[in-house]
Amino acid sequence: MKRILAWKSLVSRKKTVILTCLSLIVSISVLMTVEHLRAQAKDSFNRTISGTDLIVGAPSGELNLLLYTVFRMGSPTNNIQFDSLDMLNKQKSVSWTIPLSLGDSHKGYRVLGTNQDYFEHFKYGDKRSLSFSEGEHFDDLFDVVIGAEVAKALNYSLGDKLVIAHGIGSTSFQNHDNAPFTVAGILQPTGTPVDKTVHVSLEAIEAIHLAPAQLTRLIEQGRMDLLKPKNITGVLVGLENKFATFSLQRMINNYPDDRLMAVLPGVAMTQMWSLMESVENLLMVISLLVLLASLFGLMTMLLASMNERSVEIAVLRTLGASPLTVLLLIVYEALLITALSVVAAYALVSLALVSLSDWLAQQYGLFLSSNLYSMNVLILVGFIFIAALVAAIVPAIEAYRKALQVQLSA
Amino acid sequence: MTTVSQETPNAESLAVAMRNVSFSYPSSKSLFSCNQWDLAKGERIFLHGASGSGKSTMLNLLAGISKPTAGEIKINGTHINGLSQSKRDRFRAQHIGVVFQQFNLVPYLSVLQNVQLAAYFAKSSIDVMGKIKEMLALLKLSEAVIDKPVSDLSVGQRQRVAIMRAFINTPDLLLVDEPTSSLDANARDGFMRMLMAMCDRNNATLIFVSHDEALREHFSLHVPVSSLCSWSSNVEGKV
Ligand SMILES: Nc1ncnc2c1ncn2[C@@H]1O[C@H](COP(=O)(O)OP(=O)(O)OP(=O)(O)O)[C@@H](O)[C@H]1O
Ligand SMILES: [Mg+2]
Repeated sequence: MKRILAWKSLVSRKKTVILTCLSLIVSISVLMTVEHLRAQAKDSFNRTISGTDLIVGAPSGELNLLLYTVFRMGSPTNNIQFDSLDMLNKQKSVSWTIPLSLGDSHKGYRVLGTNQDYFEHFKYGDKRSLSFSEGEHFDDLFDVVIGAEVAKALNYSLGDKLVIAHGIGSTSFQNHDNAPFTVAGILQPTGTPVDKTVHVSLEAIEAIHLAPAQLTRLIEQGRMDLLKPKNITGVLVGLENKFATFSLQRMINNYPDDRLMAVLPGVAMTQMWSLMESVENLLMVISLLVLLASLFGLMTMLLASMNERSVEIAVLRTLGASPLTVLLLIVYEALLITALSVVAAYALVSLALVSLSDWLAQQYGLFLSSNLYSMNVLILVGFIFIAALVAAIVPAIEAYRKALQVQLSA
Repeated sequence: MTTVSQETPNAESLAVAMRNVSFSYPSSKSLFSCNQWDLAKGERIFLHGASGSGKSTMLNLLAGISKPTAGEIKINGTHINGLSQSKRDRFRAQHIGVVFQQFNLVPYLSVLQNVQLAAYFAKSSIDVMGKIKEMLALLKLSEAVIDKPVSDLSVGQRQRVAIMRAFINTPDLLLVDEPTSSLDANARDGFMRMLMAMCDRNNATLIFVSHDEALREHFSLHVPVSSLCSWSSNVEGKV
């Protein structure tokens, strides 16, 4: 009966109630979206690399090394000697290594020189390995393996020829037409920077840096061994035993024959995320303020309705409703409005995610889960209800006061 | 059943028993003080008096909406101002029916829902629908009215629905304040007949307040408020 009463009372004031709901829906949607984006950003950020125990590169600051080798962003770091890779491979505690050689691009996509170990040992997400949607890893000097997004955006399929430029940037004047590469494999989408990467062998990186005539001569003479790289950008290292991490890190940092630095990806990732967190917190604060504004709207609406509701309150009192019942009725109404708004906002945001996720992935490479449900969103909803309850207190007390003062007739 | 107040009334046989009651509105300095007053069960009285003499104040006290500052009010033997707020509200829901000029019905609820509301607050488990159907004929309302929102009814219909709602919990005491002031003479007489018939059926005690002298004839007992209670401007005037 109380439910009918609260519901009918809201319906009888539907104009103001709908407007209040709309303002709540907008603010709750913003809040849910921000929370979802935050969670997804963090998730996809943390998915970028997994299972790697150390990242080794030239000393240049932990964040820069991480950005450059893992996210393929930021400014290039100095190179390290190829011999250092051999040195790492000889360590007892090292299980596997992945050499990385960066610095070139293809139509705006970063080119990564590496070897077979990359396809075998690189892991992302919850320890997932890379897999091919078509073709396989490179055999030939001029084979490339492209990420899913590269294939989609540039419309490449197996067997297509492409040219790799020296330097980073989508237009390059040093295109080597005599070194045409062939697409040998296309990777499955991962939602990580791998999707935007063009992978070639370390030798291929050397090849594109040779003068055209030199390269032609080498190929004619069959002296491919001369293409052995002398420098690489960094190495991802997996260990047999995590306990060795720190001693190996210390050993690498003090290695006398090359200038090396080893960083723990977890630590560097956390450090980097904390930089982004301030932006994320700011967004959260702004959306909480928006929610606050619409809760004030709810409060105002309920309070303003008190005048037109004297009749209703008086009738309820004569029928035997206690002032407390009247108070609870107002609280109940506030919660009903909030519940309606939360449900509508949830549906709205879910719908938007479902219908926009393809477009976002294509246009911005944003891989958003269209499942809005998470513990944090649940906590957020709980918080919204508590806040609505607090907002309802003032009008509810006003109703209580009014109910106490009711006189049957003037 | 006794019909007239007796010298030494048996509390059980009294619909209303007031002892040394005084009351004042929070915002006013005037004190409303009442003599001892006993009203036997089943009695019907016409309570009258000039505007501002305290008729409505009296009904609010009897309904337990206003609480006396001193003294005691017993309704059917229950000391209502000794009850807690919520118990007093429950007592009103279960034992007292009210019909007023206004403030009778929740405008956005249907007739049925309005009546159900009264049963709900009385926590009674009666068959509301069955009881409504019994009363409809007596009140000359059609069944089609049941599901209409109250705001779609005429004033006369609304007052009859108010009677229906007042009787849904079979009250012992009925408090009626100026119920006919917005009705024409015809509707007014119809209303009075139905009210009386309903009181007969339920053996309810009726306290009826009106300015309308034409309604006197329906009652054998006419009580001026001034004979029961009086206003004094200073607190020392307390009885
Ligand atoms: N809520 C209130 N606060 C303060 N004073 C009030 C309040 N209600 C009534 N009064 C005062 O109490 C006195 C009696 O009022 P009451 O409404 O009982 O008169 P009444 O006999 O019902 O008059 P009427 O015939 O006009 O309805 C009046 O002087 C009025 O001003
Ligand atoms: Mg009055």
